[in-house]
Amino acid sequence: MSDNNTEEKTAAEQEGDVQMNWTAVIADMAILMIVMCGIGVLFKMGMMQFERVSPSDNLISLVSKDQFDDYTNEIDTKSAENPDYINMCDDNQVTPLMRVCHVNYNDADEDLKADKLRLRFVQDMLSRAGVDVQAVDKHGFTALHWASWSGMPEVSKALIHAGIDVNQVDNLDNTPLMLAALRGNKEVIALLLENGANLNMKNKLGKTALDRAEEKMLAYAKSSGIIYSMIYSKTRDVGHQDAVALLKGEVAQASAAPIAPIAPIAPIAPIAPAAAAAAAAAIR
Amino acid sequence: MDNNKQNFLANYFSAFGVLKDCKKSFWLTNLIQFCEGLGYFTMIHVFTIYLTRYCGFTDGNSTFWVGMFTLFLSMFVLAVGSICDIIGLKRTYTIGFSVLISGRLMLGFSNDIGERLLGLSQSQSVYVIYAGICLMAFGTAFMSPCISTSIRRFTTLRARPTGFNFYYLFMNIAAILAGVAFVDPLRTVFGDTIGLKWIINIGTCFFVVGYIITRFIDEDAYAVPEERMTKAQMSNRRPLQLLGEVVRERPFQKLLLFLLLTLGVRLVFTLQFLVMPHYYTRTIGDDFGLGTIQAINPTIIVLGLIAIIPVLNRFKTVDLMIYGMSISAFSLVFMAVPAEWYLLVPGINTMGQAYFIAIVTQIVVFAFGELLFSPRFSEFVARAAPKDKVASYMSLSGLPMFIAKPFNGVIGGLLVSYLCYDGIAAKMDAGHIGFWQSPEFMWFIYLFMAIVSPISIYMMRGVFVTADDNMGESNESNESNESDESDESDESDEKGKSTTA
Repeated sequence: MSDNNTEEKTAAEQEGDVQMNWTAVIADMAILMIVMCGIGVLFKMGMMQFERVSPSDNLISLVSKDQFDDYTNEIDTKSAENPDYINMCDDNQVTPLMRVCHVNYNDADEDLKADKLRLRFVQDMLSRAGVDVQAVDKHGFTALHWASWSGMPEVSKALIHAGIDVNQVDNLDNTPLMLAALRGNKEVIALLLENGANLNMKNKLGKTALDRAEEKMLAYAKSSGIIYSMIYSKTRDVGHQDAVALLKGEVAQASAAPIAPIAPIAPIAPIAPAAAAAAAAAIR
Repeated sequence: MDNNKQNFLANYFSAFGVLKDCKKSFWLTNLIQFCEGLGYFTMIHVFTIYLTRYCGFTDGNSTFWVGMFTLFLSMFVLAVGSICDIIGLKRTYTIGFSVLISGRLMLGFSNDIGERLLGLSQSQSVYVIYAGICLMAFGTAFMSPCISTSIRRFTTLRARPTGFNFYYLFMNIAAILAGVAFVDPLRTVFGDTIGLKWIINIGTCFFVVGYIITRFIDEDAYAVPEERMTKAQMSNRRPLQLLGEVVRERPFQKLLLFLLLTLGVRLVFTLQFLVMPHYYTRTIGDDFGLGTIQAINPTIIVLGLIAIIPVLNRFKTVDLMIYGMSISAFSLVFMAVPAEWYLLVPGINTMGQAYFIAIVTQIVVFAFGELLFSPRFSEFVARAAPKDKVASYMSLSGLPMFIAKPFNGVIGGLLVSYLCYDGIAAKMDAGHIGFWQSPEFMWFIYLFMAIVSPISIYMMRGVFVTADDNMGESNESNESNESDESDESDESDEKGKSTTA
């Protein structure tokens, strides 16, 4: 019996020891945590001045999730705090409107899906007072440049209707048509052409939209092997081919257009009998 | 050659024969860690882009918080290392999984909890995410020590090394499956942004399954009954006390120097989930097969475990580490050179192809370097320690990384926001981005940081080779790694889950 008591006592003591040490471990860890996190947070705070923060990150996240109500709430709340929120740029001068007009997919069908989803967000932005539709970013892209590169025809249409110049050039003289052409976005190309996009404009490298489309089409067609199966999209490949065909057709049509229609030949005046006899005598 | 291949395979898999005598609890433990691995890797593959795209974090904040998550994880591993011996396996699993699942639910449903339930705006509901990240780190920290303790407990001394090999093999298979079978299909089905939420939440389901399996474990099924510890025998490690004791010791100082010198290349290990997801999706496309590409690394590790590791055991530890570090650091060259250079290579015609080839080559070369470096790293730490302090040295070997992780999170975020921002692919296509503004320059900076490690270790090789020689050249430390809680070394808690000795 006494042995049992001793054992129990020893066990209890041991238990007590363990608990006491466990508390000490927690205390040590708390100190280490505070020190390490403190170092991390101080470093983060020190580097904050160099951080690039986009005021529209939250907004774009809501757009990506297709949460329209939350998006309008966010934009209303932020606009109440800062009336120019809708035009607030990030460090590359990219506005929220431009960001909504941008997606980056390999598969051209995904671009079109995104186009449908994003349209109402773009329409909402365009309907808001004070939105700067003509804004350009650091590299001279307009929202239409972004939408054209991204392959979003409906969004591009809304932007064109809002008054963006379809032939606006970026800092390297790229037009929206060139960006759509190099990505093989045939729907956007067709839209831009319908709305007066100039086929003959050249960028600073001296390339037209057709040049860019052809280069990309040839390069992309070589992606179909098994090595590139992860980044190859049949729809993109077909898009490149269609884009080239479309642009070539337009170029052919356009090159035919400048030749002035042949003027109707004037009726030959009847030759007088005397003059005719004189001419015949001269020939003889 | 074919015979050799067969020998590797036969030798590797025949070793698993000793496991046939293991009890049910051993196999259940492997199932638990498989589920836990699936849950962990589904999240870590997409963690930064989830925070950015789904939760609205800036690039800087997303990488910072992932960096902090890995820091918390390492710190908590240090704290809870001995908890399963004190409170018992089942109870530890219960605490670990409960905390982990709660944290993960907060992360996965931050939107619904914060905005719908609490009526917060998206910018306010980030606090739910912060809390979720801290809880997840705490819960995850329970898993690694607890699973290792389980495997140790349920294997005989003879079967133990193989038991741990099986554990690592299973862990890597979980990493592969997480990417190929869950991350990519879920993003394809639900979309590249909404799919991220599903990935996080389906990962949580694996934790639930893992927890249910823990209920069937017989925690008293010691394979070696003599290993049943009394509470008086249990190690009650106080990290600061330990640090105070060992910091004055010459071998520890030497080890600390070694750890600091290897920081550059070891930081590269964390980039795979810190910076790479943004890099992949922003250069190639949001619909890029993120999970598949992330699965290449563990696949190579699995193949390497089978074919290469047995051959490498013949080489000296420090030499292998230098080779491994050099190869791992060098792998960044493929992403650091201007992408246009790839267009000169026959068969590479577009920038997308150039980036793709750069990414795959880097992953393959890096994984090979990692195979040489990581197992030997743990071994070196174990060898550097006096015999009675192996576990202490292993635990404290993570300290330099603790400081480095939040730094890396901040630097990674800055570099991504400057050199790999959302929309950079369009600007590259249009010809606006030169080398100094490109993602390649970001990798050039990382390359510079990483290359310092092998060069400095090579220059100070004499110091470490002497230490190595003094410790002897036997491979017994491999076994001591396993029995001396190698799972608590730094590499075991995150990316290093897929590396092994």
